[in-house]
Amino acid sequence: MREEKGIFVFLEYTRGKIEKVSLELIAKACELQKICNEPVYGVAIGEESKEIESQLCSLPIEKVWWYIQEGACLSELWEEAMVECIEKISPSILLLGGTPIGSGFASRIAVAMKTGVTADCTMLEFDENRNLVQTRPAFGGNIMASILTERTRPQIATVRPGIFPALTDSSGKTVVEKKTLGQKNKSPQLLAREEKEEKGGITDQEILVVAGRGVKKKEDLELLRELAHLLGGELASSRALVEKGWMSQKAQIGVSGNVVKPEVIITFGVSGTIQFMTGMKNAKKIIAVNIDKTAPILSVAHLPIVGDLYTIVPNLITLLKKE
Amino acid sequence: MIKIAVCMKQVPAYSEGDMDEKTGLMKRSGLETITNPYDLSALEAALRIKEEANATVDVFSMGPENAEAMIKDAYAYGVDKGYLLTDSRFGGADVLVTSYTLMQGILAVNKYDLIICGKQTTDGDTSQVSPALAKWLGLPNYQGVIKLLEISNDGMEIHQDLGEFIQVLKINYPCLISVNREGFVPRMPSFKGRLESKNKSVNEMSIDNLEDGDVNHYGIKGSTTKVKKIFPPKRTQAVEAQVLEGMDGAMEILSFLRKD
Amino acid sequence: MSREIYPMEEKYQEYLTDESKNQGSAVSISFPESEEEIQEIMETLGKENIPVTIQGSMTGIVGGSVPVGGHIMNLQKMKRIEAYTDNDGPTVTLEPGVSLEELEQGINRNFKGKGYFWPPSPTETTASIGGVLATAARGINIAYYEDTRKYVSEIHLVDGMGKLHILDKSSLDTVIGSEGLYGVITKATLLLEKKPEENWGITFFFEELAQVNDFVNGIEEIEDTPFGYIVAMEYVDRASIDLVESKKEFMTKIKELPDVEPEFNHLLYIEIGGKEDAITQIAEKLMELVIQCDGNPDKAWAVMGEAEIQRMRAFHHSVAECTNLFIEEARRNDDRITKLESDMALPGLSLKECVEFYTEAAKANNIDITIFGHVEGRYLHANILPKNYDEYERGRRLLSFWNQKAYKKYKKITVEHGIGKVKSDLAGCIFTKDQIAQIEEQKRKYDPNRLLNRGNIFSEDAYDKDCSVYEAGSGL
Repeated sequence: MREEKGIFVFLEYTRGKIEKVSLELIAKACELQKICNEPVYGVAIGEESKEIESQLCSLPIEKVWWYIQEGACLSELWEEAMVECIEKISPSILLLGGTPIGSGFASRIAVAMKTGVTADCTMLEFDENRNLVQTRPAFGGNIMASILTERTRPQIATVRPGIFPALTDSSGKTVVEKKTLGQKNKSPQLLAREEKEEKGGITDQEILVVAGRGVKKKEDLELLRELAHLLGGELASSRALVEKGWMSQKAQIGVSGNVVKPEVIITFGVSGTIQFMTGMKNAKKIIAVNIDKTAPILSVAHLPIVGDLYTIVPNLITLLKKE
Repeated sequence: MIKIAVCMKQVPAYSEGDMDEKTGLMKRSGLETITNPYDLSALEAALRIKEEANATVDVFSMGPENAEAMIKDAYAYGVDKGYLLTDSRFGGADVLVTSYTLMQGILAVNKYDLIICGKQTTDGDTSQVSPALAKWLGLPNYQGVIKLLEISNDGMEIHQDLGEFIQVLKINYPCLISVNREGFVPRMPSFKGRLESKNKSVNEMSIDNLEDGDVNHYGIKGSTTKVKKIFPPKRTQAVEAQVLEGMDGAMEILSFLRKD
Repeated sequence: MSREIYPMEEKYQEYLTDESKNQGSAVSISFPESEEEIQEIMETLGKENIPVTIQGSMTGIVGGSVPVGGHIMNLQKMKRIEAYTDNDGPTVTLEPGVSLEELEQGINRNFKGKGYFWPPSPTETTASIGGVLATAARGINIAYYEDTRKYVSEIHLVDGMGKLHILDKSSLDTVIGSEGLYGVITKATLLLEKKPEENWGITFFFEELAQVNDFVNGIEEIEDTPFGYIVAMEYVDRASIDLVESKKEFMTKIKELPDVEPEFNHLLYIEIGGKEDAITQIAEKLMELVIQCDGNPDKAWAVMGEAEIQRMRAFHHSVAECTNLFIEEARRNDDRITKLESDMALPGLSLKECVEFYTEAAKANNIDITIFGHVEGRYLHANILPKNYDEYERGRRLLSFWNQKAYKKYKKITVEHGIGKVKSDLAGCIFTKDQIAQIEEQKRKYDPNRLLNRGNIFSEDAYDKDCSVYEAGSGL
């Protein structure tokens, strides 16, 4: 029988709030726990704060180790903290968010423990031997690979934000043990911490709403822009509206404009010329609404809808506002 | 003199993989290859340091023999020496072992001040090799680097994009940095550089050139993760369009968005 | 199944124009999905004497697919690639709606590792094969691969009465480049070639026109061998470079290319194909030459390998695309403005003389232009950049002046981008009387009722055009 007991989750936070991805992983860990019956532990590293303390205390898990670390966020130190906890408990699984910070030290831990790490998993489940089956896309998403870390522990997996559902249970109660890390004498000097510049470009967006020729008046774009913002994304355009001068070229999707690869793209009144589709065909989820059943875009959409954007969009906005 | 090592990988030009169903390993033959675009940014960062301060830039790669072409191409950009870790026994390596192999190769050649890696590859898509490599080498790693300033023989100032904020650090060598594409748009290879380097050869290294000669530590033998199975993703065939209006359409869209 | 002839509605508005930005009109439209359907539709329309305009991807810049009333037959659904063979040389048989891009992907998938390709390489890769054949379009590699007709072995043509003709090499040459005047191409068998073993793409920069001119003269003395040959030679002027750089940020495919340093006013791009040793030899000669011509060898870029060559070609394509985008923007202020491009070969002139052929009059009349194009055969294109209608009108006169000047020198005009509707007033200057007679004969055979692609090549039925307007010659 195995001796490892425990599912570790890295609790990432930087600005007074635990990252959503870490909470998604707590939820996932609790789900896995129902099958393997191993306790869930959290490891948090960062600056001391009352808000974080209360969030940590209310997690529905066994225990949290909280390493108070002022100053720079350094992969080496984060690794050290996590390894210290792992050596205490010998967990069978370690989950981290596939964020710049999480990805920055996940495989350091793997090397320290001489074990395997699988990055950007989209599915995590147990096989018949209670090994964690880590599934991830490869080759740009053209193939899915299911991977096992058979003989070594912990089994380390990183997961991108938004893959797993959010934690809904905010009524937990857990023990939080504060710790500190030994200072390294050659630590680099933290010069500053800066806000990130607002990017704004459509190529950086994960969610895009696209307006096409089916939009009758320039003023109607405001409705679509509202929808885009409610979904957490931005408004983009096919060439037709840029030509009309209703949208700027910055927002143009197509072979002679921007090539985008968002998680979600929803087109309204876009017919789908070859040039347009070349600019967005690799989007993860393509939803297309067009009143014309022969519009080419309907044959590449994952959810093609023959309908009038003028009846659907207002209703969609209503539904989103209710959420 | 700053001694820089850049890790580069040759990848298929298109992301269309041909996987061997039994072993789960990529069948690499027959596909056109390019240099991993993210590694060109790593190379660009190295070359900028070389231009600003006094530095040498060596390239290391692990791959099949014809990955030599990629290193030769790198010479045209201004790389000093190129090393290709190539051996059939390296095949099938996972993150742990790939980083171990690169570490062995790097240590067999020199003690470098700075190792520079790209953010990820277009085939494996993981960004996990560089932190692991740093750990094997006993070095700190700094990921998400978007800017390099104040380059000196002891260290430099880096700006890291850590997701929610930018962290500005003064770091010292030796260390490993991983750069993002933004901030390091690759230069064009120079015509002069290409002609001058046409007779330059690539140094090939096999397990026999490494300090650890135990074949069980490399390739698929040394890997701790194994591909259990591969399958095509839930790819949609041309889906039948539904005729929907108003609230029906809206609800259909919302539920589609909310499912995994 | 699409045996449907749809009445024109607002949702089909985008089918009334192509990249020339000329606006047309139509009464009905169809999207046939098979050769039989096309025949049926042509028969039906033929009986009612309804004119038909044939469309592919509508990427043409001379108005070839702009409808002049009547019916639009859009072939975007004819996307089947029917066969790949490799018995006596590789071939592909396909329907006309397949794009160049799709063809390339199909060839790569089916002839994996063989390195085959279809030589005609217009840079607009969303163009349909039907359109490429109808306009005899070529691309950057004409220096080596020359005429599109060489790479076609069979064509299916449905004529103006709905009758199917299967044409082989003995009769298809006249159909290629006929801009749809004789019928709808419903199927084609293309001949593929093997890509060169290696491919280098070198970009040279020059400050002075005299320097790049001397460089080109030197290159033209280098002999091609089967092992090392010049595949492409493209010239781009500073105005074109500036235009591209002003739009680069929002064009993903060229966003990451470096800017050209401001002191350089002329760019020359050369592709060399063949085996590595021979290519290197040619490259070394070029290195010596560029030093002799006071060019800057340190600043030249050299890429190799398919992916990188594609990136360079994407840049050259964007030079043309950005001029189209400029016109689009100008049209937002005044939609009477359309693309104004000089499309003539000026053989026998040096590169310097070619450039000055355009810049002299443009400068004298204060009109902004860009110049770029194939150095081989001297197919340089001068595009007018009108910011308002007044400049557009003056631009039209300038274009006319250039045409006139060329006609006077050569007694004919040779175009590269097709004639379409935009240059139909030049038809009499482009074809000899005999050639016009031949075209007439073919037209009577395939489309006696003159229903197909009206307005292309010859405006309306004016087959007896001459160039008297240019004979007389009038100044600007």
